[in-house]
Amino acid sequence: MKNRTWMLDVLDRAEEGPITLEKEFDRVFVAQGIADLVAKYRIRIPKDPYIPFDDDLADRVFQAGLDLAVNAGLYCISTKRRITFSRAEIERRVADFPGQITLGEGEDACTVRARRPEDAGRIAIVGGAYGTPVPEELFVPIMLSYAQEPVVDWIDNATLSTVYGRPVRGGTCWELLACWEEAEKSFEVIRRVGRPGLAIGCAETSTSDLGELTTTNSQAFRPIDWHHTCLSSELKTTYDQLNKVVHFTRTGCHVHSFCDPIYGGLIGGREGMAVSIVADLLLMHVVHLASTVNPGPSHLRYSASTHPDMMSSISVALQATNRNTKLLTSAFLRPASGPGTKTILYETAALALAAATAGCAFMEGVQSATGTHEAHCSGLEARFVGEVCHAAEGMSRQQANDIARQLIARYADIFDDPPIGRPFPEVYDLRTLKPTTEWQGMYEEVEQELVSMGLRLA
Amino acid sequence: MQSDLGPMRAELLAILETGDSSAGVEWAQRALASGIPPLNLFEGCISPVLDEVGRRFQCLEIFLPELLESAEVIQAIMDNEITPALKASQEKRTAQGKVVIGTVKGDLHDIGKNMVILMLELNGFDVTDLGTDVAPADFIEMAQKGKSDIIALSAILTTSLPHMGNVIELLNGFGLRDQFKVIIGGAATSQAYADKIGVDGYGRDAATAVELCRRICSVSPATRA
Repeated sequence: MKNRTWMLDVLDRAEEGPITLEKEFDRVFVAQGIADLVAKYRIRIPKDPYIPFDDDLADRVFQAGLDLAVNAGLYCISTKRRITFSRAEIERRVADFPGQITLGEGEDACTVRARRPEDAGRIAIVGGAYGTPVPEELFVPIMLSYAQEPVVDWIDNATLSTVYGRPVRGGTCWELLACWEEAEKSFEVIRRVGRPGLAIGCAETSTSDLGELTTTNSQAFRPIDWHHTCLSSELKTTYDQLNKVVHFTRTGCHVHSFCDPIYGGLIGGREGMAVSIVADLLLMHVVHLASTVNPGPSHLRYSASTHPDMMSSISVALQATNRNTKLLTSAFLRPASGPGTKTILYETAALALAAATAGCAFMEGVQSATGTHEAHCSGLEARFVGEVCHAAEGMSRQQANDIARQLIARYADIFDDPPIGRPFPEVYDLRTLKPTTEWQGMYEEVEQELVSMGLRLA
Repeated sequence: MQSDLGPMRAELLAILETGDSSAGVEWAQRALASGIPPLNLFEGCISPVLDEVGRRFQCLEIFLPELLESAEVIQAIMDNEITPALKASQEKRTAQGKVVIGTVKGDLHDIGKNMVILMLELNGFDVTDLGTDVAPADFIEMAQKGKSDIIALSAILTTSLPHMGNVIELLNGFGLRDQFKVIIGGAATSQAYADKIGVDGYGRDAATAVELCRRICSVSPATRA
């Protein structure tokens, strides 16, 4: 009932908030607003250390992000209004969040809990192809490769690129049909690995609201699953997203919300991105009623979230949020490299260390090769992330930074021509669903490198 | 680039770095008063400085807010000085070409598309923005209405890619394929996908999109302003 009342308030404000031209919102509230706050709070985030350990900096970034959330609000593209909340309302809503939720059910349930920087508490691991396009005949084997990994606490689906042999066209009837197929195939996956209560991140074939709304019901995706909404860059929402918020709230689902602030875009560089991320995380919780929140982000040129120029900014923003709230935050591991390469492991390990020691509650990935190359994804990447994250529980930021620096030196120069690796059938045996000897060998070699750098892998 | 305009270019670049529109307008007034014809000032000074700003943005030596500030200064210079001076002198600035652009159906992302628009406009293209979630047939209808040279399609989401192919199919089906060049861009796209669906070019980022449009329009027989 509390969520329903709050949801009505959000919807009212989307209809009654200050009318603003979108261009003015971009220029005045986002670009200039962020620049002013970076100056006001004297925020400076060098590229190195990649994992900063300055609590005062993190707290100043949090205050700047809170100011931005109050000053700008979320812009509703559909109504041309800003959805705004006062500082007291945002602080109260965030403070009221219990700091934990449970996804899945029965023996497969996972309770994810808020963590603080350098926290020894367990990080939940979400494994999946995360919207990487896959042809329908590969959906089940690929998702089985994730769901079969014991370290994976819940899964997030691939996106179907075909349905009944036809290409899926977003925003049309094909999206609905494909989302129904995604649901059926997902349940086959969790049944076949003997984890019927495993939560499913869904519906990844839903690019508009149509697919999500259609398949969140008693015959498809369940309230115990992990249902997605997102912001548009920067600090914007739409009625498509609010439609989902209404449906998920009324069907008793937990809402996950993510965004994609763009490094080098309207928010500027590292300092602006950190401030923007904090505001994004707060507003996704407040406006999208999100139980779990993820900040992306993307590099303007390379898309990847692992670029060294962005690492310290992501770390500080997550430290800021996790020091000052009990929100359930995550990092999104979107490397430029793909499966069957060592660099994908270096990239994911570096960002996973940055996020784990920044106090993320859960880790998401891997969206290999930035999720744009068909079927370039495999479950081994998620196993790797799980092992790295659990080894980083309780680790100091300084130690993590030492390791991250060595990892970044191994991949910093790949971005202009990233090694996208090979598609799933070339890195896994489709009959046994085990990694090929070559891919497994690379994995083990990188594990040994990490051990030699000081990471205590189980 | 004319060597005698070198100091003027350096001065303009410094003004763009400050984002001071009134200083930009004063700079143009001084240049025109010194006898530099407005077309020479644009082509020999403003245009190469814009190239330099674009290069800096492409390398992320500057970020989008700084690019927007530069665009505002240039717009003020054009509106207040160059365009009126061109009219008075009977000189004509050649439009680079006409582009109709949008994010394809099922996709609401627009920040990349908007950067391309900004860069194209700065470089003298006449751009029509159709926004996001644009149906394939709407691209063609608007390109016909506006007598565009280029249809530019953007997509971030992989499930929106088939709509790009639909644009080509419709152009072929209507017998219009030879009237328009079609280019694509956005995180979901690639040169391989461009080749697969048979478009005329792929722009990895805003700067390469401008280069692509320049190249296309330099050989396209389409109408110029």
